[in-house]
Amino acid sequence: MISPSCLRAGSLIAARAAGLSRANGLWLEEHVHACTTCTREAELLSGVRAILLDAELAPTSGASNRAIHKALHAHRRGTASPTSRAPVRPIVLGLSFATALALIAITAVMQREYAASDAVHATATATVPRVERRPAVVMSDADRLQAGARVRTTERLQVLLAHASVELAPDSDAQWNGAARELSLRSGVVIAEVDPEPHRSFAVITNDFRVEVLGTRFEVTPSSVSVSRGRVRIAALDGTERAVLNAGERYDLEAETAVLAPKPQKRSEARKAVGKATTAPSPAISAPDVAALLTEARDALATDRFEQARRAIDRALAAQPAGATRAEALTLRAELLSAQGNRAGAVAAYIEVATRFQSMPAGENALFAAARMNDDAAAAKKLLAQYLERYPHGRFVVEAKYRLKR
Amino acid sequence: MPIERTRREDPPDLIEGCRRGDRAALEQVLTAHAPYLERLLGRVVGPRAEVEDLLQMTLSAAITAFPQFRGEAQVRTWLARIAIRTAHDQLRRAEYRKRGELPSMEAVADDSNDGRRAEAHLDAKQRALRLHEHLNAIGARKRIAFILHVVEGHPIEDVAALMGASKTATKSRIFWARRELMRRAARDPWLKSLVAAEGVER
Repeated sequence: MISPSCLRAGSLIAARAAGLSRANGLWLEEHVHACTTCTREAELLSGVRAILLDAELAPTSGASNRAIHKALHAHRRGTASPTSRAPVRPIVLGLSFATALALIAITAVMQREYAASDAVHATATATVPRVERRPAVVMSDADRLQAGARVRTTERLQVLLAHASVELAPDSDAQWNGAARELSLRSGVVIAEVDPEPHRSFAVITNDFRVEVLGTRFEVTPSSVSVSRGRVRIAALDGTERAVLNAGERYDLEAETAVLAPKPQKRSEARKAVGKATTAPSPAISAPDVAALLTEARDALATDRFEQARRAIDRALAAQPAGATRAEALTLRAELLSAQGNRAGAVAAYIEVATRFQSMPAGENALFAAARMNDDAAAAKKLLAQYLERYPHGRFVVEAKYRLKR
Repeated sequence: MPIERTRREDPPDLIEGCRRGDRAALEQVLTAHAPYLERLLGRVVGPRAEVEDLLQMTLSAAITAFPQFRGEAQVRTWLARIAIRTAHDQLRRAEYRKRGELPSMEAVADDSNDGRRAEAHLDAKQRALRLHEHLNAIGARKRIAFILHVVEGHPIEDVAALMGASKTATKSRIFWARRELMRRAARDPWLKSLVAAEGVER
């Protein structure tokens, strides 16, 4: 028979992750110390939570993208039901065969059209009547387009080239070389999303540089590159490496030129140009603006737009906010470093928050986060011990104890 | 996951685009929410390859249902509800419900009856897999409610809303999931070691 106290304790133990009030936390702590059964349950649930949070349960980051594309493709085809592999395999094979035949027919028709002139100006309106509903012109058989198919768009156009899905902004001019898997951009903007396939390259070439990629999403204009996901290498047309961009980073040809060859009298201009790609802190930012910047940073962080998040955080910190707002900004900076994979930097940033804002919830959270992220086991234990000493009734006491004993 | 991030709502014009079936709008919204859904599904069904399929099923269902989305809840909540329904359907299938069949658990127990030593041989993912073997034995609704509340840290009200159940039913599901887990901990030395690791000091 379970006593009413134990029933209440059980509910509170289960609700710890969602957060307990101070009073409930203290009551639970007292009860758990006096009740062996509830102690066991508390430690079991804490262990279960720690194991599930520790394990990298989510598949690789590409899984989301693949799922989105499959879902969107299925929707466009009118087959919204998702992959249910075993039972529908014969149907899928049949459909694939029929699709392949259709693609060959479409490609043959397109090839005849391209052959009619040296440079075919395929406008979006000519090939895809309703871009919004059916944006992709399938040109997947790359080898058949290697003669130098050239595309000029009057409105947004999405095409499949080799293993990439490429979106051309209106008024873009590009030429596809299927054999080399290279898209030459003369003007406009290209957004390319490339499935990671080792041994199969994909490149976008402008008049000034070449962007090589294995698996990512990135945007190219004749003078800049922005990477949303993955990693790209930017080289001069003679092959010299200019930059390697990770997700969230941006390359600006104009800004780079200004940095490489600064003219003393125009240093401020060069700085301004670089500022376009880096940070432009505002001298006076009001409190509501700081709050808006932090919201922007949080949103950008949640959607992996790291560069935008970094800029917003820097601008918020440049306004020198105080108290909880500053703690939040510094915490976001730590989260950003963590999201970018800079664990050591994130730990240092969390420790800074924990040291400067000890009496705030942000300080408590940061101390525990620093312990969790620390790859050095001894340092992590030290931080956990510090956490338990500083916050004996804190939100993560049970997990901290569990980790210390592990 | 000590720090929760709050999200601003998706812009209304973007949602309107999704309702119309605009591919760019759909892609933007789904790209923003897919990592969260992927993580959620991973937590609910465990570290399985099927997570990607489940995510695809969720997104396909969402795309189809978007014209009926009334905007009463946030898009993320609505998508999470679809994901949970998808995961629930999957978990109810026979292959996910192997009550009492814990082959790898037995194998590890044979190697060593000492739960702690067995634990030391398992890395984080294996331990999660092993733990999910236990969670698999709990009914789908109870298990999902338990994970959302105890592991993910959603308040009871949110779990009830996500699962389309009453608060009382949700509390009851979590209670019985905890009982079942405690019962299994009494039988499995490895699961018991989670308790023993702390229990020895008492």
